[in-house]
Amino acid sequence: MSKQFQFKLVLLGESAVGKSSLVLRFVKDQFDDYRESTIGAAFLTQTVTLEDQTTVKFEIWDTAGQERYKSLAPMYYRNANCAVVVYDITQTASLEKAKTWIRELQRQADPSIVIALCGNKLDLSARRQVTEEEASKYADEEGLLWSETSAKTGEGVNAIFNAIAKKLPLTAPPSARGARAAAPGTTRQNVDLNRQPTARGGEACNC
Amino acid sequence: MDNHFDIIVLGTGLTESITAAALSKAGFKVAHIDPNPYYGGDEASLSLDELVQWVDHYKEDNHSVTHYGEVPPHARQYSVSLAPSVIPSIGPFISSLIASGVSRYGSFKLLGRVVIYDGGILKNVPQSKDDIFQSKAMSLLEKRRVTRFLMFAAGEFENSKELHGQENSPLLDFLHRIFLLSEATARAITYALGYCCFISETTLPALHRIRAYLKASGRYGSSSFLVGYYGGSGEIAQGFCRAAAVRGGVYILGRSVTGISSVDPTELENPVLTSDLPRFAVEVDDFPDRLHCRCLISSTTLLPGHLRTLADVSRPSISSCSSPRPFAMARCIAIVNGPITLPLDTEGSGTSEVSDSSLLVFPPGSLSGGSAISAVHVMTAGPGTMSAPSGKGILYISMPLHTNSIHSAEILLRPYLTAVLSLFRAEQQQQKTLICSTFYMQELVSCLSSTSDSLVGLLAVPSFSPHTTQGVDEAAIVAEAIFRKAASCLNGERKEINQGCEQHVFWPLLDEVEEGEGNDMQW
Repeated sequence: MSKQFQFKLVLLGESAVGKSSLVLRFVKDQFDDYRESTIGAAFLTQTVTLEDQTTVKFEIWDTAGQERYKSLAPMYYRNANCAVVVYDITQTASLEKAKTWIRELQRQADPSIVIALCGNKLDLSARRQVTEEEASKYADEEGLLWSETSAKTGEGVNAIFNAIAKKLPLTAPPSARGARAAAPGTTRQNVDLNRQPTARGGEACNC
Repeated sequence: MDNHFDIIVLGTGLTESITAAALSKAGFKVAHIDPNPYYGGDEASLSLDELVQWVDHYKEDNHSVTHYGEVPPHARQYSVSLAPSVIPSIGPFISSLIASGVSRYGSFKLLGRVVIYDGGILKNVPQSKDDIFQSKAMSLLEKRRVTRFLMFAAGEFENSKELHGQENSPLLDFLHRIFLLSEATARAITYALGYCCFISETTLPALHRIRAYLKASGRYGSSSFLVGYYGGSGEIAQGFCRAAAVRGGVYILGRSVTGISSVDPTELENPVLTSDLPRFAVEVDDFPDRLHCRCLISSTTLLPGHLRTLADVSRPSISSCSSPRPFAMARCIAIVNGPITLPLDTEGSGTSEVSDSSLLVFPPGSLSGGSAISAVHVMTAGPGTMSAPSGKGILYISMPLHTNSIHSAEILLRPYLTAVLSLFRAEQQQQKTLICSTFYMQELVSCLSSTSDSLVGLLAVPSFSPHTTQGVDEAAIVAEAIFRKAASCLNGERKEINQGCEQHVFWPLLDEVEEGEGNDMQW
């Protein structure tokens, strides 16, 4: 029987490095040259099937632009199992920003979080400012996954999400993992507000 | 950054955040600013190291605050609320949570027990008719009287003969005289079912609350209330802000607003469209350009004095909210060692699950050395709502105050903290050691009633309601009122061009784009 796991994945990185494009390529296999800053979805989901038929479902959270003025809420990092921190290989400064985000993740997020450092815009390698050696050396030191991608051509995109799926701890029982896992040691008593027949509570007395 | 917005919202309290999300979802261009580096304002959920910073900052502003004890390890694993509250399972707030999609960002669970301190011990407050029948503490006659009252309160009591002429008499008195209830029962109903803050509170608003909470019981389980994870309101405010950001809202935290001025249209260099003229210019620390907007929504506390009297203030206008508003809240946050499941008299405790989220009510006059006129609420939280690391617990003690108090929050609340800790000790036969405690006074800015010459497009959000059970519903009601005022203020101008008068729905149906499930989602 194949197992399914669900994980929360958060995206981080400076504005305009291609965070949303990367996800759009991964989830929809599309690319839009003229995408402006992110307006759109609460979160997207995409499933990766590993060789042993285990399926890993990513619940992917975009920053929704809240990173721009350092206004990302703690809620964004909560229960994140993995993170993709993106920089632009044609902008040295964007790698420095990525390093800041990685420090922030190490401070804010769960210590077991799987972090992938991702150098995007590989299609523009003629204008490369960040060398592969420099980035991969840093990733090694920090124990991060690392690769380069092009959201435009699709190169390397699936590979990095696959690599994350493989690195995630798939040993715990599926129910204990995932974005909405209950606190350890407590019985699951969560109330799912959306799964109620009276979802809108409309005509009820609103006093 | 383009520095022209339809709306600028100042403050990220719950009301402001709901308003920002609704306006952003309705298609308006919103900038949302908070001088604090965290979301939630006076209702924020903070980690313990953030709480210590908050204490230092609060002191600087000449507020009374005292803090004892060292910050324990794993300070970041705590989420403490500056204004703890519960969420009624039916009501405007939960409707907004679901209709906006924000409920998916948070986790919720049922409130565990509600207990009342009576004659030196804790008594379970029956949550249902079954509980009442099983109760051994009440005589058969008393049970029948209680049942009669609950039937009355759950029904259309507005035009009943029982209520006629009694609307403004104190609820306690009404329960004695009209329903012949014993003192203990009347107290339990007044303070742990109607959640009156003060001894003198009148019958009608309390009856509205009781009816709402009776209806709310059973929607998700036996309790009428839910509690949010990670400190509740402050966390949920972040969810509404994310919803606004997802729809294009711009977020600027940790920068103060250094000036707000109304704009004289003739001074503008390049007026874009006559109908889109900004009315306000906002100067933000570190921003080279001023931000412009046509509608400015601000929490009263962040509005400069000269603009306070010129703003249109929205108030909840429903009968359950007509109880007198407290002038201030004396609050205590105490971190203790050991799990905090509320102790209880043994009766009837077999069936329910153990929860570390509970509400303990001290009626006025119930504790010697305590308040004779205010009801004091003690909420507990812990690992069950991811509010504290395992083995630790949080006690929130709050006392509403009628008027300015000559005493500090610590003097007012210390007796309650001592009493609660000794109740735990007696029951669980183990020492509950206090790790650290913070006492503070939260003053609620009373908003001046708006005059007829208020500035067009300037909307003030009144101080949040500190009521434990009703606060979040009031936030949703006020947010909807402000949303409508802002939308009509902005549309009034557009109408001239478009000739169309679109009525904005507070929360339009969630479209597929926002549904977080399934692979075939649109971006």
